[in-house]
Amino acid sequence: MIDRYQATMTAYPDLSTRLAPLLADHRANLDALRRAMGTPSPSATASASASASVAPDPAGAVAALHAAEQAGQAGAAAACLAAVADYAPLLGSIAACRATHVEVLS
Amino acid sequence: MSAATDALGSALAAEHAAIFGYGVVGARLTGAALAQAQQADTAHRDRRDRLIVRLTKVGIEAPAALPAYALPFPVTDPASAQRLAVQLEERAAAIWRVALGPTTGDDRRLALDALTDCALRAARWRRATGQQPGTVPLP
Repeated sequence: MIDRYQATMTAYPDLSTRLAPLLADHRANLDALRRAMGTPSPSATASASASASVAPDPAGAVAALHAAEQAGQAGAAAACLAAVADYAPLLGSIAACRATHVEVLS
Repeated sequence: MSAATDALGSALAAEHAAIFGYGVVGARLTGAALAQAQQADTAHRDRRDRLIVRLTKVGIEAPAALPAYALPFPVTDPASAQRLAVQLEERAAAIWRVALGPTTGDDRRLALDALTDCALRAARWRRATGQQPGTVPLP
């Protein structure tokens, strides 16, 4: 999602004000997940390697992010419901965060 | 009592507090903001009722509401009422989030739905107070 937001903001700088806070949420969510899992941050080369494709118009690009957030919410919710007790609160919190993103992008 | 029902009892106490808080909030709002507060109040009452049914079903006496709850700051106008609404949702969300750990199955689903709804309402209230987009990581 971080790559998708960055690619969308690069393609459509006018969307940056609207999307930057959501991107910041994703970065914070990812950091929390990494801490919980004990996974180190990836190197700069790994994070720069992916380039997400962006729709040919801003409305389409926002719609694509909306769909991705919806899918992400569903995935995080399912993971929360299936998780062991230690991870359920974090996964549920990420699902709730993504629900707020879905609403903002609607 | 189990860890799960303890957590649901705490969630019920949080819902009681939120319902009290929305009484204070609603008294200072009009128009669309009042309607938003009334919808939130109804949602918290629904969740309270479901929790009471759930706890009663397993033979646990559901904690009753207190006569009054201390407010974190004076609520004197629409702006402070909306700030309180944000806090009510954040506090309820935090309790529901904790409840995700010890619960399983339908109880965890109840907690996840409640956490998600609290996060959505908190973001809406932040937007109502001018914060855009009003979302936060890890609500």
